Amino acid sequence: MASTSRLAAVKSALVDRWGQRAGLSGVQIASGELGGNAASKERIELIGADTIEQDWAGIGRLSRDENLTLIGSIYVMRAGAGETVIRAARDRAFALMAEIELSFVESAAGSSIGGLVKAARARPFEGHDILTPRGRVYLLGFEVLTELTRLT
Amino acid sequence: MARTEQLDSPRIQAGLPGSISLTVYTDGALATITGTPTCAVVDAAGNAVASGNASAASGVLTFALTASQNAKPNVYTATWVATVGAVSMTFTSTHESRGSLLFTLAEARAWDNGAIGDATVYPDDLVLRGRDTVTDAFEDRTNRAFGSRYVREVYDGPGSQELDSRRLFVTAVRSVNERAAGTQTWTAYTAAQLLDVLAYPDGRLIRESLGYFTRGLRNVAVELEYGIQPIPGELRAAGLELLRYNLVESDMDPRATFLQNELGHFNLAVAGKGDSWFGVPAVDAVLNQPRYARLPGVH
Repeated sequence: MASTSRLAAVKSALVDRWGQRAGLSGVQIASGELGGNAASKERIELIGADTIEQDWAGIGRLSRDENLTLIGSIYVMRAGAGETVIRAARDRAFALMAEIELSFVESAAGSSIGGLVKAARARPFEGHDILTPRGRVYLLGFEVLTELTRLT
Repeated sequence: MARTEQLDSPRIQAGLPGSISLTVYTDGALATITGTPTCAVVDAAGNAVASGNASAASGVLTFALTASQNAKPNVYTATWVATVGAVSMTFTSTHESRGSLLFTLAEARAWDNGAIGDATVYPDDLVLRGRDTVTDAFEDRTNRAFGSRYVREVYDGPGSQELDSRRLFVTAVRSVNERAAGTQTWTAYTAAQLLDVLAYPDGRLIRESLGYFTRGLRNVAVELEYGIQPIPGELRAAGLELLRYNLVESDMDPRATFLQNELGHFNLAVAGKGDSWFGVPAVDAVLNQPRYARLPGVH
């Protein structure tokens, strides 16, 4: 069956797979932006700034190769003030990032997101220590890159 | 020299088994209590409620009341006798039993994703005293009691059927006593006379058909239960939210009126400014509802 893009399937699969990981237990995970009223103090959002690159795979066939870049965000809030709380929020954010990275490298199924893509990986690209009325927040941006997925 | 403190809340919930306690210090350190301490509890009218052996651990005296002993809202006075440093000492403490408490310790621990869930950082006694602070603040701003409370008050007799108790949401009149001018002998209303006293939510007590409140000075003593019972859920949630902000430290400047960061631009409430009692919008919005409005000069 022809496929326009695997973007939607990839995002849903990522959320489902992360949601099953013990290391992410209790973390609210969503394939879109949750917004400022989200109840959880830890969340992972694929916030929707997605890039789709497609090239024709060959002459005479309607197959294409697709590369996806998904932008995600890790949000960790810790109630309180001062250096101890700042570190706790930041350390937890990077621990969640490590869990995400691990999900891609620990198995072939993880790397291919259950066979949806040829290969995928994740990496952080920016972080922010943020002061809010409810406490200290660490916001860690990351991207998920998928490579050379053949669409037919 | 020994001194005492009530570190946890002196309030317990009526109708349930309740534990009352008192902490004893000697020269700034928790006292070593030897032997078996005792405790005798009387209610606001001086009637014996319970007595017996108390327990002592790390300077804390504790005595348990059964549900039947603690059946109704009341104010208890506990007299403790304990041996501290080989000297027998007597201490007294006051405790209040209320129809409902604003929230439970477990609810406070779980609120806002466990913001005050760490019992090491936020010990039980700190949370429980914090609950009292919030409760008192709410009651002070609204002139309502949240959870049935007991009070015994003495009024000037109006010489009419109507007496203003100045307590909103009176739910029960337990007793009325009157005394004649120049005497100290109080005469209790009979059961029929007591049933004849009608209580109105605005605090008025009206004798329907069996006479009137005798005119006089400080000559009518009334025991009442009053207050909003059960406590509305929105009040309980507001209490939890305020407790959270009272206990958890913040790096925010308390005078800041707006905040801009990577998450957006936020307008901030400041305590005491405009309609904000506490600087916490979710709390102020509840207390500013007309149903909780304090009427100037009336109640």
